[in-house]
Amino acid sequence: MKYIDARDCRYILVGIAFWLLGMMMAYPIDAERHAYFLRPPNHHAKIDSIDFGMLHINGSVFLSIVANNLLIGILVSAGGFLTGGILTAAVFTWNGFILMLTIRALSQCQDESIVELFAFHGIFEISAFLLFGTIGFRGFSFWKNLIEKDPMPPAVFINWKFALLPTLLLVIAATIEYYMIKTNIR
Amino acid sequence: MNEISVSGLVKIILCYSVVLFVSGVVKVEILLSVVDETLLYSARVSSYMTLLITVSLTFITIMFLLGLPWFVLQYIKSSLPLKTFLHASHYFIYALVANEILKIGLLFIFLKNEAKSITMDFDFQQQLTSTVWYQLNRTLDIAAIFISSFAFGWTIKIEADQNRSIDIVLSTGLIFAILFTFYMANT
Repeated sequence: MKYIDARDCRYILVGIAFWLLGMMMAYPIDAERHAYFLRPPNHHAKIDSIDFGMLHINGSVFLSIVANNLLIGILVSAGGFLTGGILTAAVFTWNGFILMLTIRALSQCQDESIVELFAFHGIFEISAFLLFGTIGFRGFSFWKNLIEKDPMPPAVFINWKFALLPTLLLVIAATIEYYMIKTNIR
Repeated sequence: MNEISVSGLVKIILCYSVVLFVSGVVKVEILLSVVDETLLYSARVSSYMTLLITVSLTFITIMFLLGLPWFVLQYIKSSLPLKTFLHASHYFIYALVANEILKIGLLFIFLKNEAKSITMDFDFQQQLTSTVWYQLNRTLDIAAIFISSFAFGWTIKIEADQNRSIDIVLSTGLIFAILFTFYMANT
C-alpha cells in the first residue's frame, strides 16, 4: 500500500491553496502596524530584532512547543474530519494570513538569525500540517456519503499509521525551533 | 427534512450551523461599524475566521452532545429505539434554531442602536456586556438550555412504548449538564 495516493496529493494541493488564500488576504494589511505579536507590549518602534533574553528556555519549553503543535495537528486532522474539512480550511487560511504578516514584518528586519529561526523549522511544520490536513479533508467525502446514504468507500477511513509521519515531522520542527531559540540566547 | 435517520439529523445540524453563521455575520457587521477605518480590514478578516472556526467547533460539540447520551444508554443496555432518540434530537435542534433566530431579532432591535454609543476603547468588552442586548441574549441562552432539554425529554416520553423514566432522566440530564457547562465556560 502506498503511503500517499493521488487523492492525498489533491488534498495537499487544496491545503496549499487555502494557505495561499490566507496569504493573499493579508497582503493589503500594513504588516508593520499589525505585527504586534512580534514585539513586546506598548513597543511602537520598528521591528529590528527580537529580544531573546526575555525568554526563559528550559526543557518544558520544548514540550510546550510539541504539545501546541500536536494540538493544532489534532484540530486540523480530527477536527477537520468531523467538520467535513471546514475547520482544516479555516485553520490553513488563518495560518497563511499570520504567516504573510510575519514574512512582511521580518522582511524589514536586519537580524538574519530571526529569519533562520522562522524559516528552518517552518518547512517541517508546514509539511506536517499539510499531511494532517489530508486526514481533515477526507471528512468531506465522509459526510457527503453519510448524507447521501451512499456506502462508505474504504478510502474515506483513516489508518492511524498515517498520522505517524506528520507527528515525527512536528517533533523535528520543535527540536529545531528549540535549539534555534536556545542558541540565540547569549 | 423530516426523515428520521442519522443523515436527516446531520442535515438539521447543518441547517443550525448555517443559522448560527448568519447570526454571527449580522453581529460581526454591526460591531464592525464602530471599528476604526484603519483597523477595519484586519478586524473583519479575524472576526470572520473566528466565526468560521467557532461554527465548525459548535458542529462537533452538537455531535458530541447527542452522541454521549446515546452511548451511555447503550452502555446501561437500554432498549430505547434509535428512531425515538433521533426524533427527540430533531426537536432539540429545532429549539436551538428557534433560539438563534430570536437572537438575530435581538441584534436588529437592540444591538444596532446600542452599538452607536459603543467606542473602540480598552473597555470595549465591558461596554458590550453592559448593553440591554447582552443581558437579553444571556437570558435567551439560559431559556434555550431549559427548553431544548425539555423538548428532548418530552419527545421521548410521548413516543416511548413503555415507562422510560430512567432513559429520559439520564439522557436529558446529560444534555442539560453539558449545555449548562458550555454556557458557564463561555460567560
